[in-house]
Amino acid sequence: MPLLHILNKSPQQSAIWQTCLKLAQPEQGILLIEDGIYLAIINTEAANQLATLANHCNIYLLWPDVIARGVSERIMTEFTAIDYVGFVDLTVAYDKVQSWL
Amino acid sequence: MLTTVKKLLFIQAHAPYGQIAGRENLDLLLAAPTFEQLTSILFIEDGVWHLLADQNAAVIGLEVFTKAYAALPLYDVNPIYVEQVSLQQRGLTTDDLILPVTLVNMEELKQLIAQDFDHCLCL
Repeated sequence: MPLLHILNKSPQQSAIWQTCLKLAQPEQGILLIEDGIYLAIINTEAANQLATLANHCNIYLLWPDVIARGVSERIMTEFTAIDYVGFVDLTVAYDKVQSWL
Repeated sequence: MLTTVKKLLFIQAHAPYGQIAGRENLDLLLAAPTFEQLTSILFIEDGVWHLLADQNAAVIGLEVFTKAYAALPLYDVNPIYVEQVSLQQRGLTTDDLILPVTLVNMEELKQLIAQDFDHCLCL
């Protein structure tokens, strides 16, 4: 499998998510971790753009980070929830990892 | 001992857990009243995420330090301001927050920050 993008900052903290989305290609993965999970809060601009991208890319959420922040009821359920074991599996399954810090 | 009393506004503008700023700001905030300073707090932008219930940070190996906000009234920290558009943009209402707060808008905040406080601290 090709490239896995990782986003770890909230939309307010950094606009780098916009750069990542512009550069994402079909079949690639986008993994949201740490404060990056705030990109998947329902009814926000970032989540809507990610939902559109989900037609061609695989969007993942690191679920412990969602639970920690108490937002599991207001997060996009369309994206794939993974745990830490799943995180490792993804980095193995994808050929390359691009962390957008 | 004479203590100079100042009016301090602590500003939480960052999300909890992803950075240490939120935690450190809270530690600083809780120290101020012990030195008899008049302390208030403002939650704005990502800072409003601190006030959500049902946080379970143990799953990421951290403590839910944000529980301490419920004790702010006991520390004489008031008012507890929350900027209202920050809530709306995140799909939140005051019902989602762990303690009663005073909603403010940006116009009111300009006034507060410019005139009502001696120092504003935003880590």
